[in-house]
This record gives sequence, C-alpha cells and structure tokens, in this order.
Amino acid sequence: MRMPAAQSGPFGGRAWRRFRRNRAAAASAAGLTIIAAACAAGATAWRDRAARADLSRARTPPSRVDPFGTDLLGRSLAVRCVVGGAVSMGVGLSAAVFAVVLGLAWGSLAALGGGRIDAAMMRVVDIIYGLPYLLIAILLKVGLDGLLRTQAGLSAGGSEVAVLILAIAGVSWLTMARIVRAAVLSLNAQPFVEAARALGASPWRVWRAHILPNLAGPVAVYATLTVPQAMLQESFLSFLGLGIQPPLPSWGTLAAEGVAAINPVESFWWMLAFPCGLLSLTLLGLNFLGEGLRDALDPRG
Amino acid sequence: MPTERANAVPAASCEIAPLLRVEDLCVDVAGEWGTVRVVDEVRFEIGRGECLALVGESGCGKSLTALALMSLLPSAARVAGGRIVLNGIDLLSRPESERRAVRGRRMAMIFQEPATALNPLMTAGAQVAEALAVHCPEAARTRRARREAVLAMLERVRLTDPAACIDRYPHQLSGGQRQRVMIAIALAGGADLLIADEPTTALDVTVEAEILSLLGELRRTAGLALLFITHDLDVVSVVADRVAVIYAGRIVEQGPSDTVFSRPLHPYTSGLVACVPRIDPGDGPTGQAGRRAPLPQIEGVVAQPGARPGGCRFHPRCSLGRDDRQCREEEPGVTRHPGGREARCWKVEP
Repeated sequence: MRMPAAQSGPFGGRAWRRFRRNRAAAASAAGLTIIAAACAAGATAWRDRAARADLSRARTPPSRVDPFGTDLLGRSLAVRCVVGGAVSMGVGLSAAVFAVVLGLAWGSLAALGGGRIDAAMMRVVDIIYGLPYLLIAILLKVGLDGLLRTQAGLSAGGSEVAVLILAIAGVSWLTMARIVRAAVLSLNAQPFVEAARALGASPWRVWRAHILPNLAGPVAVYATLTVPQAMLQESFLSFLGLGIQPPLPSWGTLAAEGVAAINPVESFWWMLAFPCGLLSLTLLGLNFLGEGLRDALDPRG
Repeated sequence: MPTERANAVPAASCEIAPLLRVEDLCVDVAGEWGTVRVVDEVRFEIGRGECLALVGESGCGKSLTALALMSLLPSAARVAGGRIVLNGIDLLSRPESERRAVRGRRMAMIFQEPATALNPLMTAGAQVAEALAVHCPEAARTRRARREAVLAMLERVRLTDPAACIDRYPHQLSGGQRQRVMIAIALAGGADLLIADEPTTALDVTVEAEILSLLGELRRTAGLALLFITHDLDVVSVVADRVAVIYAGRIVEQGPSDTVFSRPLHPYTSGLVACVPRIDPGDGPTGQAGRRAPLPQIEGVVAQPGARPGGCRFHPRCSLGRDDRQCREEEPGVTRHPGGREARCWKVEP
C-alpha cells in the first residue's frame, strides 16, 4: 500500500469525496454558508435599522424599496429577517455548542466512571428526558433570569438571550450525552485503548488522545443535528413570547407577528412567508448537512 | 516438534533475586451467578533475561493473570489474594498511581491482534511518540528530537524503512510491521519485563518466526525478560526457557521447557503434547508408515469456572485419575521434582 498518508486518513480525502458526492449535503453546505454570511454581515451593518419604524410605510407588500415588504410599524421586513436570522442562528449555534460540551462531558464521565456513577448520571438524564421540555425551558428561564441579572450584572437584553441559550441547551444535551456514553463504552473495550493504558498513559491522556478523536465522527454528526433543533426551540419559545422579546427580531418573533397580522379583511402574506420560509430552508439545509456528514464519516461506508 | 532453541538465553542468566515473583495469585470474577475464582493460587518466578511461557487452553485464566500483573483487570474482575513482587516491591500493596507508574516503565505488555491494538486514527510514528512522551518527556521537546527518538525505536525493532512507516496509519502496514510497532511502543519506557499475550497467534508462520527472532534478539542485547502467553506449544519450545502449564486456573506443571515436553509429568501436559499435529502425512502418530490416524484429543471439555469438578480439576478427562478415589476427592498439592520441576498430580512419583 503506497497511498500518501494525508489522503488516506479517516478524515482525509476519502470522507471529503464522499461528502461532495452527496449533492443535497453539498448544496446545503453552500446555501447555509451564504445565508449565515448574509445574516452576519447584515446584522452588524443594519443593527439599528431593524428598529427604525416608519408608520407611513406600514404594511406595504414587497417592492423595490422593501424587497420583503414592511411590517405593522413600517420596519423593513428584509432587514428584520436578516437581523433576526443572525439572532436565531446565533442562539441556535450557541445553545448547540453548550449542549455538545455538556453532553460530551456528561456522557464521557458516566461511561468512564462506570458502575454506580454511570447509573446515577444516566438516571438524571432519563428523568430530565421524561419531563416536558417546554416546562423545563420555562423553569430554567425563570430560575436563571433572576440569577443572571443579579450575579452576572448583564443588561436586560443580554441576560434574556443568555438565559434563552442556557434554557435551550439545558434540554438539548441529553441525546448527546446518551450517544457519547454509548460510543465511549464501546471505545473503552477496544484493544487499542487497553494498549494505551498498558503503556502507562494517564486516564486523561487516554481520553484526550485516543477516545476523543474517535468520538469526533458521531459528535460532529449529532452536533450538526442539534443546531436545527435548538433553532426550532428558540423559534417556538419566541413565538410563544417566552424567548426573544421585541424589538429584537428573531425568526420566531417575526413569525408570531405574521400570525398576529392574519385577519379576514386583508392578507399580509409576506409577514409570515419570509420568516417561515427562511427558517424552513435553514432547518432543511442543516438536516441535509448532518445526514451528509454522517454518511461521509461512517467508517463502514 | 523442533528441539532446537536458537533464540533461548542460557539458564545461567537466572539470578538469585528474580525480577518478578508471583505468589499464590487469585483473581475473582463477579458474574451473574456469583463470584468465581478464575485464577487460583498461581505461583511462578521470572528472572532477569529469562523467558517463561504460560501455556493453556482458551479460558484457563492466562490472559487474566497477565492483566492482573499489569493492574489492568476489567471492572468485573479483582485480585482476591496473593502477591506480585516486582524488583522486591509488592505491587498489590501499592496505590493505583504507583502501579500506573510501573506500567510501561518497568513492565510492558503487547497484545494479540496488532490491527486492533493500534489506534486507527494515529500514525505509527505518533503512537510511538506518545509512548516516548509518557515516559521520557525531556527527550521529546523539539519535533526533530521526537522524530529521531521514534526512528531509533523503530530501528531497534528492526522495522525496514522506518522513515516511511512513521507517517503511515496502521491499516497501511502489514501484520508483522504492526506487531513491531506495538513492541516499539511497549519498550519505549525501557521496561525490563515484557508480557506478550499471544503475540504471534494472529500472524502467519513466516512473520511469526521473524517476531520470535526479534524477541530473542531483544532478550540477548537488552536483557529483556519475557512472559510469553500462548496456546501454541511449538512456539514455546522455540522461545521459552521455562514453561508453566495452566489448567482451569491452576498451574499443573512447571519446569524447563525441553524436559516438560520431552518427559511430561502431568497427564494434561502429555495430552497437550500428543495433540500437536505432525506434518509428515506418511506416518501416523503411532509411527506406522502410510496411514493417517485421526488426531488424538483429550476427552471432555475444560471445566467451566462455576462448575469445577471436586478433587483434582482434571480428573474427569484423565485416563489415570478418572476412576481413582484420591483423584476424585482430594485436590493435589504441588510436588517438587528434580531438575527444577513441579507438578500437581497424585499419580506422579516424587
């Protein structure tokens, strides 16, 4: 076998080529990058414009001046969608990051602790899993809200977003914990992990150098699938009025405003269609991306 | 069976204080039906530069003995008694941190299947470098120093073209190369004792011969002591000075490998020796030319740990002890015999 080493590692050329062949995944990756870049750029440039109201132009359908139309207060929906996209994706991504880190730590500690520690830790996961997530999210929000405001001294808006991120993360880490625990248990039984212990490596070194890299596959896949989940939860909570508060836009609050504008006299379809359309496209893209990653990184493939 | 031992070190290398002394080691395993003793009062010694082979069928406890020596027992198993004295220190009385310091530095282990015993996501060079980093961190400060140290280790295990192998992943190496890399990793800490758990079982015969020759050379040049666990008697006769035969968790015979196989004391050992197939198709085992007799077997199956027979554990399968009252009811103790041999059998004359 004379393949150059760089191309034949497990994350090397082979996986990348498999990923590119999955057209849905590749297209999603490209599309998501565009949306994310646009939202990031727009959010920084148009932060104030999102709240700029012009009542004379309220409720106008899409036109050249306002490509997505305007809302009840005459604010440009396009600008609000872009800023809202940044908020939604930012919250979704942050919550997913927290969830991944917490799930990784919890699952690893449970699997490596073994015995009673494992049983206790997974019992906690099972209990939280069984509770209705909305209830937990609300409880977390109420509990953390006061805490963050007094202890961390964040501004009202900042603490709101932080609490929302933590509340969403607080329900999203469970699946990751279970997956990581199963993966670590199976890796622990592998001969090369035993061989690493046999050469005298400390438990931390064994985890960092041998177990963690082998976890990268399943963790990457489920992390990518956690982001749309978190975004959907943010949208749902914001839709219910429990998440992002106005005037800060998010796709969820924009959808709520769109729904509130529904009436039998006049149709303001653009207020509902654009935020929901963007949200759906993003979620779909993330799901394709996650599945594409899973297929590409599957070592049996 | 070949009688020459080209890779053996003369017996005079055994010194007064053995490198490793295992006294009455017992290992219990907790199962669904309670605790079972799978390693029962195992006792042996290995001197510096000496090779002891531990021979037995699958499931007789040899791998668990090795794992107990390295303090790597799985969570369901624990040491229930005995002492493991390495260089005069009883390892079992020491805390886990000291035992971990011993692993790799004083005592190292290589495993059966090199394809799975190497991390598939790390290059061979990275894995040897890790072993070096664990035991000699000062030697690994710069990248060049690390690379040279890794190259030196790979040359020591006689790997052809070590510079190319450094950047290869395990699946790009052959079985023999992987096993050499594993030996390099194991010896990176400068251990005096290498425990080899069936290291050549997964290799084909020519590669096996190379690995055995490498181990012999390491014993000669570095004074490496070897605990060689195997179920292959031919390998034992080539590589080992002394052999201990395990049956159902107990050592039933121990002694210099040439005499144990040429004149076995215990019926189980004679049975094992008789089971080894001969290659010449012309003669049957009875020496009759032109007839192929069926392979001899030892009747019965190995007693399961939870359901061991009373008295001598081997008696239901033993032609001498099957109908003997003493063999059925009393467990034999260890009797010593001339030539440094021991056996656990009522039927052997002292």
